[in-house]
Amino acid sequence: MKKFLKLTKINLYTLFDFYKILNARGFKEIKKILPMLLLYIFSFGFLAFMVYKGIVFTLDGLIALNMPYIILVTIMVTVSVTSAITTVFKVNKTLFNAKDYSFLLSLPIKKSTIISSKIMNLYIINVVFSAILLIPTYIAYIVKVDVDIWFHLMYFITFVLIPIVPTIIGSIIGTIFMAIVSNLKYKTSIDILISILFIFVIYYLSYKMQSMSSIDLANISNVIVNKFNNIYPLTKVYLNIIKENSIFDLIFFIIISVGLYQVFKFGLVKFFDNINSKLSEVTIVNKYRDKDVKVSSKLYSLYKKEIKRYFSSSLYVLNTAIGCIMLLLVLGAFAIFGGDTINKVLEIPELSNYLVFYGPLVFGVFCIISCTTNSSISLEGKNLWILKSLPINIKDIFISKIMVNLTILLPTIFIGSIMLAYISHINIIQYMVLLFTPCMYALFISSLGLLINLFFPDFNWTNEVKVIKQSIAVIVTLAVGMLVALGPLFIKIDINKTLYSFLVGIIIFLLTMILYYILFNKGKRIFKSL
Amino acid sequence: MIEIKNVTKKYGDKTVLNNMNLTIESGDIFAFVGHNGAGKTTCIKCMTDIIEFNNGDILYDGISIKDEPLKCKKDIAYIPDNPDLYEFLKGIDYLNFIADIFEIDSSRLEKINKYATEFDLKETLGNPISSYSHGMKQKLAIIGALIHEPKYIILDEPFVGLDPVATKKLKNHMIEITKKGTSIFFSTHVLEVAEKLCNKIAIIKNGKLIKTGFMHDVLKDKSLEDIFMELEDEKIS
Repeated sequence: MKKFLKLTKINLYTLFDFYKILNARGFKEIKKILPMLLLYIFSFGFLAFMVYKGIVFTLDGLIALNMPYIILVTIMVTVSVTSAITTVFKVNKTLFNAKDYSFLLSLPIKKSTIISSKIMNLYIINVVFSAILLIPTYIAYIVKVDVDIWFHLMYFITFVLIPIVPTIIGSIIGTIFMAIVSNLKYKTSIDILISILFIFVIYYLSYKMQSMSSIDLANISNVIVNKFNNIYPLTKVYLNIIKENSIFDLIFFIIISVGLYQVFKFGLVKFFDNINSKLSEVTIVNKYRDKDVKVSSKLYSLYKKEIKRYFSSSLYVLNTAIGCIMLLLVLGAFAIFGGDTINKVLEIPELSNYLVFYGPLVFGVFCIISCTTNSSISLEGKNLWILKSLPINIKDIFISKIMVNLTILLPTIFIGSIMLAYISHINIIQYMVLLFTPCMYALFISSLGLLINLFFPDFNWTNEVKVIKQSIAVIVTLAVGMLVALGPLFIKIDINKTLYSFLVGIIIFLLTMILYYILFNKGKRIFKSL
Repeated sequence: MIEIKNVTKKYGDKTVLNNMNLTIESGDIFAFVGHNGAGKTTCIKCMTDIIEFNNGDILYDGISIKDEPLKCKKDIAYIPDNPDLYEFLKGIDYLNFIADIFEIDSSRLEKINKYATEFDLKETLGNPISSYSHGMKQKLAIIGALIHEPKYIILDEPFVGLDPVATKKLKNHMIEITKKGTSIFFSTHVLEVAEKLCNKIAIIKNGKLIKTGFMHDVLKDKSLEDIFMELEDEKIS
């Protein structure tokens, strides 16, 4: 137990910046980490506030229908499904392929203890990110709905319990993927492909479930709960705990969670070494030939290096490209199989105006969650000396990193806007705006992410999950990006929607120009001092 | 010629390099020795523009690395003590990258083949760097440093991890290229190598240069090991 706790503590240190904050001692240390602390509070606070506003809005409607508890079920299922899916992608580099694998095995620590601490890492990450949804939901619920003391107790017990099962389910699926990948030659590429296929399957299943039955309005709450229960079978158990204060269901929830964890741990101990050692094998088949020697310009060479870095990490690709893939999947499915739905959509009055207004914002949000630059400086890690010692203009380094982000975003925007135009029959001017404003978002987020990462670099990571998923640079970029992307929703100006959307694009362009100015002046100085 | 003029580097309140002055002439093989934590790597990182220094200047043929870093770095090759290279690239991709940055034309092919054959790395250039051993990475970094024919080569513990054959070849190369006017400045703990290979030496202690000059002037009739131990004893007393 002592070793497990020690390992978990060390892992937390390598995974989260705010662990440093909690461990800061003395005025000097606290003063040093204070800006980081404030930024964490601001970023998490802002994201939680946006969730809170959305929950309150939904709750008002549900209270009118006399079924407020549906929001609790909705959030629980959302948290569970999201945790399970994101865990699948984190298994590589956390459970397997971790840099400390050989070192830990050389120490007198049981394999099961190492595995437990790794699962604990995944669980803690899920708890932290679940809190962004679960805490605002709790506050909104107790503000809007009369609850008794049992509700508070049950909510916080389930708050801790909810992420356990998704963590294990995600770990099981991720382990199966890793076991498959470990036997193949192109491990990273196959891992990316399998994961994208997994997203396809998830999307297809959720699409099938949505069109399962017609809604019986008289019994709507049961229909919703049943639908959620189909997606995640612990939904009804959770509802009984939170609504009926059922101790029996709580015990059942605990038994399922702990039992699943024990079974997974027991099974994994048998395969852990085998999968890890196979994953560490590097296929050596490529013979060097003279034609491999090619001359490129400095910038193109930097870009090639950045693109290779990007595609070398399945975690990096999946974490940043998943939004783009989902967007194209939804639009593609709609364009190909939409049929009647498209006809119904086309009957909506003022459709094209709404589309030109909301379309770019949706693209904007997807750009924000597909930012690659906010970890691109940190990912240089111990290789930073190469860029710093070579005769490379810092501006070229920045441009090459921005170009990688645009390589992901611009094709998505081009293809997505064509699909949207095909679905909605908008005119050429509206299409141009639909293309222009998201492109501005793409330029904006790629420079914003880079600048924020320059302000908050982290080169001492041992697990790239830390810098790709939960570093302060990533969280701040997400918060600031969302503020800019969703800002136009809160500013009401009574002008033509197409013009308004175009003006939003112009403002984002101007903001991007300011960012570029800061990046190529102060940013260069920061890079020099790293 | 490299001129280190009154260079001071501080990390917070701690002075790591204290008003350092040193001149490395064309054709020198300059050894840089000192105990662990004396400031060798910091000095080398300042010389290669990896870290900034607080005071003073470093000049390459009279050009300040502070004012014109790109111009200076075009003539420099640097190999760190631990060759952390891009593991996601193949060996040949790394060399292509370096050659692109130094704008070497198609003549790179001949150079890559020559050095890769010499350091016994040609067969593995098509493999990912992640499959390389420490020594192989070190060899790759050395090839990357040599292919652009730099005027200044700055190395931090270059012989660590190299097999005896590669060590011998690197030493031969060092002698050969300095005859053509290249200056080599390297830190090392292998005092025998420094004594036999270098014409000049600088000994650093707690961020200060305590001895510098021609090797034979510093040694007189003693070995470098004796000189070094004397200086360490002074530290203790």
